[in-house]
Amino acid sequence: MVSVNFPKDKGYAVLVDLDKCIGCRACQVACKDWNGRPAEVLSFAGSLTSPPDLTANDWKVVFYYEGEVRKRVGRYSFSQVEVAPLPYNCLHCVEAPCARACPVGAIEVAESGAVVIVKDKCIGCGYCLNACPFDVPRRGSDGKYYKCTFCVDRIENGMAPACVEVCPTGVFKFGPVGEVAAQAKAEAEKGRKVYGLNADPYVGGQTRWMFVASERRAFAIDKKLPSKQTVDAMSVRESLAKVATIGAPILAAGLLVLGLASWRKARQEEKKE
Amino acid sequence: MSSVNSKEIEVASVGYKIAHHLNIVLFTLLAITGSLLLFPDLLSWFVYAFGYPLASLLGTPPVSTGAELARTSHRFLGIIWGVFLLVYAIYLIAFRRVEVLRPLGKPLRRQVAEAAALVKHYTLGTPLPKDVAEQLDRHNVLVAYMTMLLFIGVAMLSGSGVAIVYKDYLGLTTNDVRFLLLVHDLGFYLSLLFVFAHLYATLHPSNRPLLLAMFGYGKVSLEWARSHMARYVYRRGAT
Repeated sequence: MVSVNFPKDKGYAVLVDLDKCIGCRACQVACKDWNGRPAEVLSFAGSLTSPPDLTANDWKVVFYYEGEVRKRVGRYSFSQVEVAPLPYNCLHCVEAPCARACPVGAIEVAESGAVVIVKDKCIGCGYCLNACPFDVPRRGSDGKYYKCTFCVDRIENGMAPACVEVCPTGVFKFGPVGEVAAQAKAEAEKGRKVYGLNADPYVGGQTRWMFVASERRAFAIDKKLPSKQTVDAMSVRESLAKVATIGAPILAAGLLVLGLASWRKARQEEKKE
Repeated sequence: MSSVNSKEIEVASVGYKIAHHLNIVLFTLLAITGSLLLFPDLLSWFVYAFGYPLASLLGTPPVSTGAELARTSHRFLGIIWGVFLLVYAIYLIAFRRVEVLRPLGKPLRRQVAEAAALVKHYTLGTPLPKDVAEQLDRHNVLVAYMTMLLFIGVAMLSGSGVAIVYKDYLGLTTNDVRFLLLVHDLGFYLSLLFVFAHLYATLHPSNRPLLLAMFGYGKVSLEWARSHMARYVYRRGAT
């Protein structure tokens, strides 16, 4: 486990309002454009989601989900199929487990809260992917891992991330983490489903990219995002490593004391003889 | 065996010593290279020093280079150790040379009494009861228990290690790899417990002749053997 200084209450966050999303993929294209990721020719895979998942060159992908929702018109209620797009990228956890897991410190957390893989330092071990509860980092053809950078180069120069800026319907509310979290809380109080505000301690209790949706589109959140934000195996590994770091020297010191006492006793007995 | 004479008795054959020394070297190297990845915070200074020479040639970050070297050599050494252990295990089984588990053939009550007496002896210096001392073999019951612990640890380490290295060929998912990494860590901690106990026992004054035999010419005095492994001496017909 690597010690990382997480600017927990500082930096920026984004609230993604799924009710406003029209699935135009402008954010997906803007991400590729700003970050200079190459385009790829893909074949239709039976879903509107294209590419079918995040890749080393697609750090933001709009996922499309179908769900049955109950609607009401006057006295009448009926069920209807709803298509809900969900723009998805790294959630930039407040205490990013990927940054803690990286053995070479290649994942740096900026003052703005952006969790960024430094390509030159990455050795391609994949510990970041193993630690991520959202399965975000992806291995590139060069063996290194890639993911959304929160447009750290933009936000640290006073601009909004490329995907935020390009959105025609204002899906993304970008701002200081405190303000965005307060807005997410207010939306939750209105009865809307909020994801990422009260997350597991494993990710620091909150993610910097939070999602909000009304009942009409809440199924997209349930389908895409895990109900718990802890990777159990990695959490246990972290705890064991902490115990071993303290326990092993204590055990060694204890055995050393016992051993020295035994030697002293043996020496005294030899002298007596 | 020809090693039995009136004054000394062989406790470690040449083959046994070679195997033991290879195990020491390979386990130590594997533990160090693995620890660099498992405790990066604690050992980053070492990773830096390890990677600096090559990093200065390649112009790459020293810590990344050190970790990459550790990761690559960990896999390489792991394969060498795995092959060696397999060959040695086949030899031991084929030639019926598995001595270390012999104490497990004793009745459970006697095993417990022997273990308790040995723990008291090693930690508090309490002399061994006569009935226990007379029944001690080449390896005592604590050694057999610790060997079982090591066997479980090494099985966890090697099984998970091979699966992690060949995860793509085996079609393993990220969740599988996560679980295997946990198993690998647990195997390491179990093996580490064995190493601690083994080091303590071998450096204990009452086992000094055994330590000298292992790193010397493999023999201990018959007088010492009679008081520390009476049953073994009896079996070898050297009483």
